[in-house]
Amino acid sequence: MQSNESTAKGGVTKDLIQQLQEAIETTFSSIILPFEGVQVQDAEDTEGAVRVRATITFEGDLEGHVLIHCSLSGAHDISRGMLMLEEGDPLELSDVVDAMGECANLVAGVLKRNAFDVAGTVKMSCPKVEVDAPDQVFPRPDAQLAYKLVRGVSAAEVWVNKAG
Amino acid sequence: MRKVLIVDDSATMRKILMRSLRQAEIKLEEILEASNGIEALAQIASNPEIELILSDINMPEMGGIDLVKNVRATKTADELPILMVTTEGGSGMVASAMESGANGYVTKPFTPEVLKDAIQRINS
Repeated sequence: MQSNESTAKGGVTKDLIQQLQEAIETTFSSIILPFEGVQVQDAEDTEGAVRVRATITFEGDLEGHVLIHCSLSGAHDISRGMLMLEEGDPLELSDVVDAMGECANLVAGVLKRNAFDVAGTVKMSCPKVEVDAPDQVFPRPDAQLAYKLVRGVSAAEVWVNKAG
Repeated sequence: MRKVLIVDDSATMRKILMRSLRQAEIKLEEILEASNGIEALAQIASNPEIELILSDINMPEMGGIDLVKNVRATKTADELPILMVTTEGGSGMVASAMESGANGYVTKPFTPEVLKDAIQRINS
């Protein structure tokens, strides 16, 4: 069973939100879902069980974070899908960490190309992947959730910092 | 084609590229790997049979643009084609890579078919 849910909040333009949605869905559909071997679990798995989180920070004319998060089993499923592994193929935690980082990198790359570069000069950080990540994501008060997509085992979020 | 060299700092992306080449049914004797431009140059020096390089742009130590410049100092685009595989499609970095002598580029994420088309365009 899969579920798709998207939420957008204020602070960014409608065009940007649409670009964010297209970028995330393009990446999810082309890299994660079609590959053989991926075992997408119920969407409920993503809520309240954040164990793996991949973050990319963007700075410049637009500032914030791109975030991919899911449970550890979900991260395994995504990684198996990205690596096109077959049943029984071994998967190390280091493979999962690298795959989740690359997943965030791909989402951020599409965002940069299709949305952020239109908004101005934006520089992306290298992906940071945390296993056993705490539930609280961004303590800074000036960050707001601009877009969120929940698909299967994973959720992708884009947080934009409010202009100072 | 005998040997292809895949250059990317992400082990995941190197595996995706290897599997994509196989899924695209591109016949290869061997796929070599490097995680940055410096490692790639060492592979090229010790493997003169390499007939194609697939390279990322953003990498530590030595990136894809400097790799292209170094390769083109000794080999022409016909002698050793280089296909950039990058998230930076359409950006100034891709333009720099092309100006430096890359033969083409593919934007991540890609499908095996897109990769195959790009390789065939280079070889045609």
